[in-house]
Amino acid sequence: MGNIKIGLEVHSQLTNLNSKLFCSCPTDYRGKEANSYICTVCMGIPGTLPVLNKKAVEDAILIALSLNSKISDKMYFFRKNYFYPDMPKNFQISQYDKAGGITLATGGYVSIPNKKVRIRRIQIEEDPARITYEGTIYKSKSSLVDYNRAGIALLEIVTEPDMESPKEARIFLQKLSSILEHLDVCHSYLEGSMRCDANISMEGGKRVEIKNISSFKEVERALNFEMTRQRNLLIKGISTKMETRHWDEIRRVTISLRIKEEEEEYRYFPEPDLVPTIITKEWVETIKDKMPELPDAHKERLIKKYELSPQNADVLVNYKLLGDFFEKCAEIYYKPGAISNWLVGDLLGYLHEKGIQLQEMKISPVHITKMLKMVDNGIISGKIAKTVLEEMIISGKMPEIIVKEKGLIRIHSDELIEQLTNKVFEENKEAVNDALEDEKAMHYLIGQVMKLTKGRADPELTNKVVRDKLIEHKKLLEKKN
Amino acid sequence: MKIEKSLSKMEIKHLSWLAKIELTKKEEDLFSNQLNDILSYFQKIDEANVEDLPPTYHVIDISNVLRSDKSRPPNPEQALKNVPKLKGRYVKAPRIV
Ligand SMILES: [Zn+2]
Repeated sequence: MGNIKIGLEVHSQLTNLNSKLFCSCPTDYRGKEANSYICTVCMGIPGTLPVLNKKAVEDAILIALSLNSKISDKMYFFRKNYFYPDMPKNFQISQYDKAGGITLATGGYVSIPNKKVRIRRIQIEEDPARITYEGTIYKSKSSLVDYNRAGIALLEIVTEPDMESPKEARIFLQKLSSILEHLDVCHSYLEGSMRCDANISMEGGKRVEIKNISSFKEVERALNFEMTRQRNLLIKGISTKMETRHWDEIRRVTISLRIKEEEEEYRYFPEPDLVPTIITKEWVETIKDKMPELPDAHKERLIKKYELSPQNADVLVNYKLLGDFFEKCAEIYYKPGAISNWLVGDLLGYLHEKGIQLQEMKISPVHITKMLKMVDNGIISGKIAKTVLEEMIISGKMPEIIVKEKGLIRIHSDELIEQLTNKVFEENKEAVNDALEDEKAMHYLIGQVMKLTKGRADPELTNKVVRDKLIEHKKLLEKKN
Repeated sequence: MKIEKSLSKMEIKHLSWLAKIELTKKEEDLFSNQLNDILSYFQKIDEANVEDLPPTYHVIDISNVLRSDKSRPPNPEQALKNVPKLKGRYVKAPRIV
């Protein structure tokens, strides 16, 4: 297998802003009526002027600092000219690192296991509009444009081609998104808030760019497809040509779709409507003072303070919301090991299975700690707790209510368990005889009793009752003989 | 940068493709002449010696015009006034892929 080089161009919205990058339109456009979050500035009506959002610059600087990048002492905006309906002005206000242009930051890196992925540059730009097609993209005669997204502050983070497999690209993106989550500037769970272009080249072939990858999950998929496609071509002795391909999420293939404008054809030039932004050391320092705990330090703290396994700590850092949730639980009921196991294992597993986002689940830390206390006090079994947890996630009801409604309380009554054991012995005579010699048959009998109580019987008690009953049975047999 | 040669017909065709504007033969000639006139005019600027001068990125000598991150109600009615074609709430545009 030849060497693979993968570089990424990540576009991340600054989702914590109240207003767009150059106008005062609000940013919570998701789920809103098409073209309702627009004004004359973001629609590029002649005579209007863009004014830069200060907080956007500060958030971008915070991100650049967290990625160990060098902040420029001044930056300019450039016009990137192209004719495509996603930009009503026929240009995008962006930044440029050539022709004397200076972007917000350069250099830096993100640490992933065994490697540092280098950052080439970070720039601020405006998000284009969202285009949908009537019917499919291939057959549609016209495009329908919703400009609500146009003008949202977007950060472009460009890496060096340092990743060597699609999996490594995914790991990088996970780390980057966790960093942004910790900074509280981009919440990647918001639909379309983080998107990505990827370029991939294999030894003996040219660089191919893949566009339109709408989520991080898709990146690994798209790269895997492209790797196989290029490898098959190389095997046949065909060298890949330099081109831009489009990722079709539904058919899961990349397609060569349009002739790409060469870079110089974007006719970049300094944006005359915006003045230079000077970034003083003092300004950067005040932003640096606000730097919160980042993933690596967070993980270390979780391991040290709560004695968590590195695996659990990793998951809680990757899913920062769950990490915060965990700490709130531990504050209420100090069983960090058990809590982290429940959250990382059953809770996250169930959310993934049902396709529920973390922020959509209806439970508070109190739900979890109450449930755990019920397990620890022997009111419900661990197995029942799992059912309770799932019900809590869906309905938001408190565990004691669910247990009461569904009659899930553990059965501690000797009398009832003995009754049920008698019934099981009656109905499984053969198994009873086997159980005198065979452990497996005994466990089968215990299982049958548990089944009759739908898992509510106290396992220890059931174990004891069944064993006692077997001894009794043995004695009876011996007497008969 | 010194512009030595004039714009060729091919370059005019390429520019019209970039601008998504169809030109007739007559227009190609017309714009070819006009654009070459403009370019030769700019060659005069090339004669100025700017070796030791820093580039000017903005004609006004001010910097850091920033606004605070406050949102205001949007104004879609005004913003959509010049839109030639709507389909429901969507702006209808030709398909360009
Ligand atoms: Zn606006």
